[in-house]
Amino acid sequence: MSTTPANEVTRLLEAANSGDSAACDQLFPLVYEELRRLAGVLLGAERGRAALTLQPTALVHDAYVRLIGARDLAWTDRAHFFNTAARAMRRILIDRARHLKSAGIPTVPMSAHQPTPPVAEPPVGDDLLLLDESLETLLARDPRQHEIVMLRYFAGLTIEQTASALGLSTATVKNDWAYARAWLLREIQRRRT
Amino acid sequence: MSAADPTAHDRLKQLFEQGAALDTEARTRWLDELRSTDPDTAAELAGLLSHHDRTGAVLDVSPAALLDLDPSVDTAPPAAIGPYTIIREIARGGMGVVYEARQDFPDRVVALKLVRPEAASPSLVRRLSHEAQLLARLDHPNIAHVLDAGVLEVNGRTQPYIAMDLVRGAPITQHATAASFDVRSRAALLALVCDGIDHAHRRGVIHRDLKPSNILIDERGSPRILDFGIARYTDDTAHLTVATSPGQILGTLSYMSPEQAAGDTRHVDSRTDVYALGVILYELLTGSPPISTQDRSLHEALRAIQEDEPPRPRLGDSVLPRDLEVILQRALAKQPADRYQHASDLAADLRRFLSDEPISARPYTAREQLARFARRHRPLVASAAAALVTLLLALVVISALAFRIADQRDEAKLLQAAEAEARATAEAEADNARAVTEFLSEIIATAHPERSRGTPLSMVDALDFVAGEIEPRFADRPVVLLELRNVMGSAYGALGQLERSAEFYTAALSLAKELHPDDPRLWADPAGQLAAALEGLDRYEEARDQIEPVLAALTAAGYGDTDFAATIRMHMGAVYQALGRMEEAEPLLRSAFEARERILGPEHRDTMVAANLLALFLRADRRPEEATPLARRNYETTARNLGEDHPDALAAATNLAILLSGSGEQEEALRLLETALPLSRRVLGEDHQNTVAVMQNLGTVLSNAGEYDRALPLLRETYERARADWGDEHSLTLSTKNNLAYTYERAGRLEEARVIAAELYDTMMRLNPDSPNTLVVTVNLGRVTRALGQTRPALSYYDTGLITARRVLPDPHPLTATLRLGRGLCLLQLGDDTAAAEVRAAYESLAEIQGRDHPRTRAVAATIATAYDELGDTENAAAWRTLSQTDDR
Repeated sequence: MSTTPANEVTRLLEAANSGDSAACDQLFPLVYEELRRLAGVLLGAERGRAALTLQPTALVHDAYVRLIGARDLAWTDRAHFFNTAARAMRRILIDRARHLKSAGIPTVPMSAHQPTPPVAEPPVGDDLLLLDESLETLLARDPRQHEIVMLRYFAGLTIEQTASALGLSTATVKNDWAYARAWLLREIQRRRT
Repeated sequence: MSAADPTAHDRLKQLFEQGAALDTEARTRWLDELRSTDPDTAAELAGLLSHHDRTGAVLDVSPAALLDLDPSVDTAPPAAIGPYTIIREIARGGMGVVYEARQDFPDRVVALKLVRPEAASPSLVRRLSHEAQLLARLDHPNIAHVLDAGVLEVNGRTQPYIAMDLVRGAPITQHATAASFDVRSRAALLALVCDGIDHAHRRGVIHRDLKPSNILIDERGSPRILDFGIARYTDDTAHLTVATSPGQILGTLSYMSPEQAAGDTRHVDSRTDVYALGVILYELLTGSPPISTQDRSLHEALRAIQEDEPPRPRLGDSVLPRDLEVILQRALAKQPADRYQHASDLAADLRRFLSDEPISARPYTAREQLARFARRHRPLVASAAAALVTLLLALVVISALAFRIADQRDEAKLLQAAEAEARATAEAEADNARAVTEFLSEIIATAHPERSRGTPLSMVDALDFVAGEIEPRFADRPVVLLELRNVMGSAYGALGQLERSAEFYTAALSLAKELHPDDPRLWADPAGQLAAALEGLDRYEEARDQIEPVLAALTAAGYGDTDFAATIRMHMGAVYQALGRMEEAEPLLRSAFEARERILGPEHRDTMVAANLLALFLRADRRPEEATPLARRNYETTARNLGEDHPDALAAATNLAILLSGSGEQEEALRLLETALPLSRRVLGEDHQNTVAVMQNLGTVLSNAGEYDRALPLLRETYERARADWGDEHSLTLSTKNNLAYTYERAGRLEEARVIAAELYDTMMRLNPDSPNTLVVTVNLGRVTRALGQTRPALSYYDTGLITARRVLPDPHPLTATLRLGRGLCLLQLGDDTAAAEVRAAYESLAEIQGRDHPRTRAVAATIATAYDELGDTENAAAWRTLSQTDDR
């Protein structure tokens, strides 16, 4: 992002909202890279220091400030931005979950200590992968609920912010969120067993 | 029921809303009622509503928390972990969980820390065992001792753990406040922390995550540092947990060093800890960290750490003692090179302050100030707006001159006893300062966007602009002008604009001579800097012409035996060496080294720099028998004073190993390098330039020992790493590539050698066709091409090289002679009439430079003899073979 990212992102958002699908394609990598970079710094990605806590809300907010700045966006543009950011955050997290899962767990104990007997437990990151799959099913069923979950969960928006970004009433968002949440939890449980 | 049926879906949603609003009892009745008419929907709803009532489920915690054990979810502590019986939980955080635990044997109470596991890989196990050994070596009263470390199975998951001394106490900052410590007690307390950190650094352990909560004050009032090196156990995926409050993230950022904030982990070393110690000292003294990261976005906070100078430290309404301010300034320098290099240096200065002795740190000089500025802003200035850059520049120049003028005032006080004279000087300085201030306000006005029409200015543009203004403006204030020329020379140098840098230093040197005709000590600084710039430009003769008179003047004025003269001699020695005039280089380098040894002491770091240059010279002059003892002493001194794993010691070990290897002592060379490589990997990091250098040298030594199979993979890794880190055109990448080609050649894999050498040649010809290094590459490529029987292409490489060599090198020069030799050998193979004369001329030239009985000269004769053998010319072959064997004297 060598040149004024704010202008570029705003332009792409506007273009994307007027139906330019190429703009959509260009926007995602911009936002994704920004979030990934931030996440990398926070997580001390190269073991340069102890990692800090990763909080999607803070990251997405930061990316917004950097990529959009203080300018006023139409609500459709803002929704589009947060949607893109949520997708990017989801991809970052899912990639990490897959990485964790594939890395496996070493079984050789280091010292002569007797290991305590293992207790069955879902491997790290599994819930996230199940959620990812369930969200795909939700998208086919109810795109609006899917969008609300994305904004709330992966971009960390509040009910009010989600409502304003999507041009919906807070009551609608609240109801849709409650339903989608219950539906997803049940779906995850089904997939787990 | 069909999920895809829109009406059914909407109905379900409506019913869900109704049901969700009911209390448990009402909901049960309502569901029963529904079940009688539509049992499928009722069952579906009952399931959904039961999930609706759940809390703490997947979607209620941060998605990141799902990736690892979430401290807020995992509550009950296990009764026992391995041989440890858990007593209670002490703390929990991003790093893991800490328990108070009882160990069965030996019977003791310890702090047991379960570190969050990284993406567990076999390498973790190796790394842990290595780290555990390192941590166990730390034994210092100010460090919580690590008793045991390893991995354990906890709830079926492999978790790294560390058992250490249980320290009961408050964080250092809280303790100092609670105990109402005064400034001196606080400084003394931090000096103790420095001792502990220094102990660890000398054993190759860097903390990387120092902060007040990691430094507890125990019952006896001693600081105890916790969590040494733990940052290395863990990695990215280990810490995805929920922040309990937004400020928590950014709060811990305050202790992050600029290099960490830049994500520049290659450069995280012991000086990173020095920075954190500076932050803690600042906080201890003023009550808050130097760079506030609260109430800032993450971006803003990271940027501020890298760029913002901390506010002047204040103690309530008063300022801190000046010495403490200077100590903080040094510890908190943005560039590691500008900081205290060791925690022990910081401790020593704190103790000097406490005993009212003069501290070692000096405030920044004007030049350092500007160089720091330029370095820091190099990447961003290109696109910054005129106003910003020029304003920053102006501010730097203001502060630079303020410092300089203050320095001059002190000097004036010391040097000039006559009071009237001192007053006159002070007045003149005040006048100069006023003139500079006026100048700056005009620059700032010029930089106003309306006047510069908003065109972006690069740093170089801004400097050029200032440069143009300086000369006419200060023509009648030569003292200021001299200082500004030095500052400009330094700034251009820092931006890599060596031509401009040399111009300003040239002008500064001539002005210094004009202003201080009787004190050549004041010429030494611009002269030395000028020589360095000219060396960088490969303009050696000019460098020599500029600094030779300075040395003569220093000697004539009776300063021949000062460090000023030693510095100039060192530069001159390097210049002569580059010019191939070894006889003249040697006495200069030798006397520079001896003078420093005498003036600064045999163990001073600058003395070691001079010793190193001399050893490198002796090696280049192929006198390993003299270079080796010097390099050995250098290594032993450095290792003794700074520790075997100090970067300087590692570099000295490498130099010694190269020499030993060159003189056939492969075993000791291998031992040194095989010890240095893991130390370097750990202390400096995998990607550090010096680690790569050690790797490269180990490869080279193996190659010297004929172990090509072990050498080639190391050299290939070295090359790939250099390439990935620094790009294709970095000098280190190029030299590793050269080495790789050469080793392939020695291993007899000529075609691979040729391909690599040819690539390298193309790059060098594009980058710097006139450099002696390009000629070295030409010689290598010519030789391997000829060895493959491609005589004509080889000849054309030599011809091209010779044209350049005759133009840029002094005559005679070993490189020119070697190129001629290659050319002559090609001509021999082609049956050319002039061949015999050409090889003879090359040989004579080399004999003249290094002597007939020099092993290299004899080796050349042997090469020529072999070439004649191949042609079946036994007569000439025999004659040359005689030359290669007998002593001609």
